[in-house]
Amino acid sequence: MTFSKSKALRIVTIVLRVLVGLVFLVAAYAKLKDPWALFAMSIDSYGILPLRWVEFTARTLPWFEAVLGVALIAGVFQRVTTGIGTLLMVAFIGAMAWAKLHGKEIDCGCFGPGEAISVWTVLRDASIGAALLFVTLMSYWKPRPSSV
Amino acid sequence: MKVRAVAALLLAATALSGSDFIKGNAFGNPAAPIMVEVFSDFQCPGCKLFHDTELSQLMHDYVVPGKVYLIYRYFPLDMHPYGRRTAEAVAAAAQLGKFDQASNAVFAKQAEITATGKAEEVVDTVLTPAEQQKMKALMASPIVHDTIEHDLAEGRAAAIPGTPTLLVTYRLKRYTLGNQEVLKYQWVKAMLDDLLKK
Repeated sequence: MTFSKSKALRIVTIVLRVLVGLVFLVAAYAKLKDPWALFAMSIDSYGILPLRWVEFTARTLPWFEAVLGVALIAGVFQRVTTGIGTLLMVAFIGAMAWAKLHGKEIDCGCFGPGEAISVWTVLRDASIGAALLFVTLMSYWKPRPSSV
Repeated sequence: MKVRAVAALLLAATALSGSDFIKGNAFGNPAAPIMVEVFSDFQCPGCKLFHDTELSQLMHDYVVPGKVYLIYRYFPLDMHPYGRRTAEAVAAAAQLGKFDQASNAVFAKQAEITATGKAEEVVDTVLTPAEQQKMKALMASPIVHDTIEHDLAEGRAAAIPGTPTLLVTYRLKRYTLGNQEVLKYQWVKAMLDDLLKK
C-alpha cells in the first residue's frame, strides 16, 4: 500500500490543527474558570495595554480563544482561523519577549495564573505559532494532480 | 458531595491548627465569606507600597464591613538580610497587641532598617518600656519562632511566587494574586466583587 506525500501532509495538517485547537480550548478554560480580574492582573503586569483595554481584553480574549479553538477543531473557515491564530501567537510571543527584555518577572497568563514568563513559555508559544503558520500555508497549498 | 464534606472538614482543621499562630495579625470577622492572607516581607519595597496604599483601602472596603477576614502572614525572604529579624520584632509586638503600630513603624522606616538592621529599635518606638522588655523576651521565645515558621511553611505549601502575594480563599477555592510588578487595588477589588456576587 502506497501512502502519497500529499496525503501524509494533509493528515499532519489536520492533526496539528486539532491539537492547536485543543490547546486554545484548554487556555480558554483555564482563564474562564477563575474570576476575570486574575487574567486582567496578568495582562496589566505586561504594561503594554492602557487600563480600559486591559479589562476589555481580560473579559473577551478567553471567549475568543474558545471560539477559535472550536473553529480550528471543526476545520471551519480554515484560512481565516489559522491566520488569526498565527497573528495571535505572534502577539503573545512579542508581548512575552518585550516583558523579558524589560526585565519583568511576571506571570505569562497563558493558562491562567501561576506560570512565570520563561524561555520555555516563549518556545512553547513559538511552537504553536509555527504549527499554525504551517497549517495556514497548507490551507493555500493545492497538490499538483499526479501525471498519468 | 462526600468529597466536598471531607474538603470542608480538612479546611476547617487547617484553619483551626493555623489559628494557634494568629495573634494580633488577623483583622475582621473570621466568619467573613472571603479570607485574604497577605504574605509579606517587611524589607520588600513592593510590600511597603502595598501596605502604604492598597492595604488601607482593602481594610476600609472589605474588612471593616465584614466581607473579608484578613490575615497577615510573615514571609521574610532570604534575600533580605534583616527581613527575618524585623518579622520577629513585629511578631513579638503582635503578641502584645501592637501589630498595627509595629508594622506601620517598620514599613515607614524600611530604608533605615535596610541600612542599619536596627528593626528592634524601630519597634521600640511604639512600645512602652515594659513592653520593650517583653518584646525582647518574646523574640527569643518559641511562640514567635513557630509563628514565623508556620507562615513560611504555609507560603511554601501554597507555592507563593514572592512578596507581596495575596492568597484569596472563597468557598474552598484558593486564588493566588502575586507575581505582579505592582499589585493594583483596582484588580483586587474587581476580583473580590466578582467572588462576592457569586
